[in-house]
Amino acid sequence: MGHHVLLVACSRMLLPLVMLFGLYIQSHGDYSPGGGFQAGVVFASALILYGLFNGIDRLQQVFPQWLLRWGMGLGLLLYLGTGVAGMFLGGAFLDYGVLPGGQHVGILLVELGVGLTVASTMVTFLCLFAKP
Amino acid sequence: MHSLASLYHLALPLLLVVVAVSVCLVRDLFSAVILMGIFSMLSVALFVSMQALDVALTEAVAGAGVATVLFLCCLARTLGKEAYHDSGDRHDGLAIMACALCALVVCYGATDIPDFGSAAAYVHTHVNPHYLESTTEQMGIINVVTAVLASWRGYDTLGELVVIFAAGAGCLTILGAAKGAAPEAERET
Repeated sequence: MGHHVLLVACSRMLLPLVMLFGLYIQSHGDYSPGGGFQAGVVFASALILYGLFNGIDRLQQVFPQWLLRWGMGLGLLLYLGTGVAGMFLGGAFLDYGVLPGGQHVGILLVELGVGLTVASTMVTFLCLFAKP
Repeated sequence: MHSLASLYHLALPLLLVVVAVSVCLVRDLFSAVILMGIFSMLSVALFVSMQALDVALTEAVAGAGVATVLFLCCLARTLGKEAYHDSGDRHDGLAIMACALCALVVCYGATDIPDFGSAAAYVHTHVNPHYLESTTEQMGIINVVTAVLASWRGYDTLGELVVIFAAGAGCLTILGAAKGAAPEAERET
């Protein structure tokens, strides 16, 4: 769709705003609507918007397949790791109360893991489905 | 004001039904995809009116945005028209009767559902009061939805994340491997 000048220009202007909004939802999910899943999808939708109008190849120059695969795995590992860390510190699996910083830190880490995996998976879907 | 709100709550679900039926009836798949997007946006309006902002956000981005794009990507690789096979023997009457029977069962079940916003509803008397009371003091965060998803029900969210990971890994295995394997196969021949 690279020949639609107006759409390409708009997508480039929207890209930083939507990405910033995604990061805001990620980091502010404890105080306002949002959280890891929403943040991940919003962040991925910015990349999908860019990929649709500027070509999947250009998107993959910045976010190549290996990076997305690492993101998918690392997010899940972060979630599991937070749970296991609770076990090592004397609590139960996924018990954030024993972590340094308490429940709040545990929730932040877990939500970060969710966001990472969801964003990477969504962009991977687009790259797989849209590639000719 | 009250009658306007109740009109809203009556009109939105009716519109949802109308859009859902037209998704089934329409034969042009592009129209069907766009109608699915409209369905999602109507759901968003419904969720917002019920003040379920977290769900509304998810539905707007994932349902109306990403899902529509993925459907369109798939559509670009197919014919764009639903193939219509007239097999000859018709069971329309039987199918309609089965649907009507199911609808009756659902309607009968729906009479047991508590009124919207009713304080006596089971969800408001079970564990929810405990979550609402102790989240802020125990965890230091305000958004109870985030607390329930990430901490109170951490196992559920972990399961959901594994599902998403498995979906991504499955797509990579099926679609990604086919592309990666092609040059290798050429090399062998």
